[in-house]
Amino acid sequence: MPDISLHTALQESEDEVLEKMFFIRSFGEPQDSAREPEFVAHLTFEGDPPGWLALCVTAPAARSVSADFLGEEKVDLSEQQIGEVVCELANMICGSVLSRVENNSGFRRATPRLLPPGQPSERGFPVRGGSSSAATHSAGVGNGRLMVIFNTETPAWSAAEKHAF
Amino acid sequence: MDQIVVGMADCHIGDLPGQVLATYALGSCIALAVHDPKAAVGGLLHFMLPDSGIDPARGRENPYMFVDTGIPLLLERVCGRGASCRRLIVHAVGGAQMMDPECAFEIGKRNYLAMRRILWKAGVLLHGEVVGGVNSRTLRLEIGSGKLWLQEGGVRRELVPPSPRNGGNSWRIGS
Amino acid sequence: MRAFVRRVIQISGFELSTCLEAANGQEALDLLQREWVDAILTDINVPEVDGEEFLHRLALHELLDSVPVIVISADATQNRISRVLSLGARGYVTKPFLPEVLRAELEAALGVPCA
Repeated sequence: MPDISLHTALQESEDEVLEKMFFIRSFGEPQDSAREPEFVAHLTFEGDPPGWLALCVTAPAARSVSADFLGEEKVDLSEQQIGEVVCELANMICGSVLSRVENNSGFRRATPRLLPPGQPSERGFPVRGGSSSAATHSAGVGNGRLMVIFNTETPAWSAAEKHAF
Repeated sequence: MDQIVVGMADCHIGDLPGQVLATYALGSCIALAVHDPKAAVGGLLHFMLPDSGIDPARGRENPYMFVDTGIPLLLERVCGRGASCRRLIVHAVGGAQMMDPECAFEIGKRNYLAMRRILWKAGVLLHGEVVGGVNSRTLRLEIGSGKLWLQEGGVRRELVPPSPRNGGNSWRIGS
Repeated sequence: MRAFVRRVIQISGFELSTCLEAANGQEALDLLQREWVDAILTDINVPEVDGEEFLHRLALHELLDSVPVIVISADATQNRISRVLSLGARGYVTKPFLPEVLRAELEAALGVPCA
């Protein structure tokens, strides 16, 4: 059964980051674009709970959102600039989700890194521990798609939900 | 006072102290007011839709209808009359969810985000905004003083840029 | 993020002569031995010397302790914000942020309106 509150935190975080710093909105369920090349950023975090986040963005969407973030024309951007923006997007979404999941203890996030090209299933995102909890969110942006996977070693729930007990 | 009415999908530039630029019935449309206090030049744009890509011919015929064609032209015209882009005081008003209570189209919000994107690309930041909600609004810009007057729900008030200390609480994305 | 921040500073109307950049806390400390600056913007999550250690070292320095520091971080946890402000940061901006929020923090830190 999916963790609804974590999924909501993921969706809200993604929307907030895209609206405030990229000035765009994501839209509904994206078209299937599994075969398109992607930029994939991955970062781990230590805290309670520890885990990792992966952000997969199709190449056209990555170029488009990078141009929005930097205030530049799409054609003027290098692959390196796009990679850096995708990493920063992953970093901000991760920080935003963690702040929603737990607002009192500190987390330590590693620096995001780009994973080499390949199908997501071939990348083998590391899952540490047997009782992990994951949430995934996909959305359309620009003329492509982005997908966020948020995985924690132990089940995570929102601070608001915790305080209700 | 010489009042110049800026209609829907319209834009006017003022450079005389007695001029007032006014625009009415702002629903999901947004009015963008710019003013250079040193040059005493200002402009008011009333745009309706976020992207001329849906009808490029209409965008060429009436660029003020769309965000992506209207804002660059507003900035070009106001700077052509002696204003400096770096000195511009910029306010946005409108972007309400009119006739769209279910937020099915969210034209107001789409207008708002498109506006921010174009301003960011143009290197211009906002100094104040009254956006979102469900009310119709009227905005007046006094060219001589740069004062902005907002009328909403029967109440008229002057718009004053937030003080720096309050900045963190004054710039929420309009809902 | 540095490109975004640099753009905010450039278009905010400040009289900007030079914008120095460092990839980590140690590099920033080395730079500050040679260059005088009006304000410092830093993340917390940086390699070598992290943001908290950087603030701690600045506070111990007899000249640099008066330079206003604004922390920009994706960490919005209350503990972190309180700790960073107690270490002497003048402002804390949580990512994601609107460009105008950073401008307002800079105006407050430098004591000048930009326009």
